[in-house]
Amino acid sequence: MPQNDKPKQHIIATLGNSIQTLLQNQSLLKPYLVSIFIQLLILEILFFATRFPLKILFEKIIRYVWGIQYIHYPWNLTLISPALQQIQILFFIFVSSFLIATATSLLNDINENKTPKPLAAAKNLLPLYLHIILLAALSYCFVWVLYQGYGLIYHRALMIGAKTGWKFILKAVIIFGTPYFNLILGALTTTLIAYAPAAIAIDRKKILSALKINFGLLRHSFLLSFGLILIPYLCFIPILFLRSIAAITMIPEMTVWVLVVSIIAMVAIDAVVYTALATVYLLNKEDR
Amino acid sequence: MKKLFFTFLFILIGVGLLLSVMDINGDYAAEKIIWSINQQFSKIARDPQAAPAAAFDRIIKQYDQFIKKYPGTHFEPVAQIHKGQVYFTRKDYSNARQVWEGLLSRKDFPASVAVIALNYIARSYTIEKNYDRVLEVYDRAIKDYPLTGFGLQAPLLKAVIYNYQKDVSSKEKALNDAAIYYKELIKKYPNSEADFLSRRYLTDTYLGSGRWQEALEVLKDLLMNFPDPRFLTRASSRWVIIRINGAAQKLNDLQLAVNIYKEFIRRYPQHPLNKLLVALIKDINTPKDSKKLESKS
Repeated sequence: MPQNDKPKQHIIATLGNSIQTLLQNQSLLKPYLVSIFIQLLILEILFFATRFPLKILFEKIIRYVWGIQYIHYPWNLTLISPALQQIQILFFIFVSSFLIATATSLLNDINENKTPKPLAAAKNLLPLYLHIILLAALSYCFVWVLYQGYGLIYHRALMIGAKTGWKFILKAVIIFGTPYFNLILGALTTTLIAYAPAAIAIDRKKILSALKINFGLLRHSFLLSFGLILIPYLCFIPILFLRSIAAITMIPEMTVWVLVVSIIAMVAIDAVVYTALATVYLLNKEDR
Repeated sequence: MKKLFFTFLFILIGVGLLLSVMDINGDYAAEKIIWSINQQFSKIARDPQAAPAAAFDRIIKQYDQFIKKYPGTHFEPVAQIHKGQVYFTRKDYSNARQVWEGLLSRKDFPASVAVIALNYIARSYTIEKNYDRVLEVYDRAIKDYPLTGFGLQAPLLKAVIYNYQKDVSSKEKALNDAAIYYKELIKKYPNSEADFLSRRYLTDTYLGSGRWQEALEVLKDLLMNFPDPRFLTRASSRWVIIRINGAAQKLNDLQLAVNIYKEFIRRYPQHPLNKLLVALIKDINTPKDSKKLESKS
């Protein structure tokens, strides 16, 4: 597969193909549906955490960690987003990564004209679970390092005293653009290990071999891979807008509904991205 | 796929419904309603003059409905306080006081809530410059709620009111009476919150009448007797230090402050405040000329 000829066309075609594959093979969607379900269930538990009967369990923790006011409406709702984010890190490492690997394995079954069986695929991947979570943890480490780096820039920007001119514009871009820069940094880190999940799920490689294959592929197709990830990620921008709007509305519950939409959208984006990456991986495998 | 989707949807809706039903008589619904009314109120309170009378009436009606819906709960006094505040904001002080007096007549509400109402009543009389009534309210606070924050502060506040009226002799008398009152409380409730607060107000009483040496002694006792971070919080440490330095400065002898800090460090060598006190001692002991040089360099 020629990677460098008109990469833009390849990106759009691959993404279109990925969406079509997902719609035509609904069993591919099952792992992602499970991911949405678990995350929404966690969100639901967080939403009801300050009410009876869940408050028996959570009230003491909230009181101790955040303070008494966070047990009461509407402060309780302001805790949901940061709490969910923390849980989502663990969820990504221990659950989501495995579900993505399962979906990738199902795509390979379809490619080999086998009947895709999600449960069997998941069972088949269990021996590689440790490698999958190590890879996810590595990916999180990349994200963490990049976010810390951005954090330094952010804090430096806060110290800019200019009220006008290019320095002020730079400060405003860095401060108000944080969620958008984070999105791009997220796309970049996903690119760094783009093909490693496929190498584990399809070729049953261990983490080091998977990373070797991944970097080998990235050397020839970094731009294509980054484009395959970034374009679907850009679809998340309206939700970032929605989040900003929700934060200033007089309806505190709005933030929770935006979180519901965010979860569904992010999993849908992941589904398209990882299907596209797995497709590219399979095409490269055939070429090899 | 459809089966899985609907199963998940059913579980999510089911769990949501179950948890909502289980908390149907909980506080959450009441918190939500009162927050919504408070939001409407704070919106018009930002510019009360621009708000139409009907907006105030609507909010008062909403508080009334809320009180009717949650009678006798811990939300009722909160709603009563806010309802009074609506009248207060529209400068209808007599109706505001009527609401708060109604709350005070109910003995089933905690003192912590009652003193908020009493405090607002005093504020409304202060705005009307009806100082005699303000003093009456302070006397009520001293009599009925002596150990609350407001009750403890009231004797000192009486002196503040005389100060407003430029009645020097009454102010001096009020300060003397307050000092006697606080000393009695310190004796009556040793090592308690009331003791701690009484010492604070006694300090202000002395500072108010220029009795710097006595103020310094009270502050020293306060620092030595209440090293517990429960009392000596960041804010109260700051309060004590500012007053010790101020009183020592008035006595033209900052070494008095240094001696107090040194004694505290000696008595409590592991206290978290010591770092600041050491820096303060160093700062006080550095001659002014060298301070200037340091700042220049």
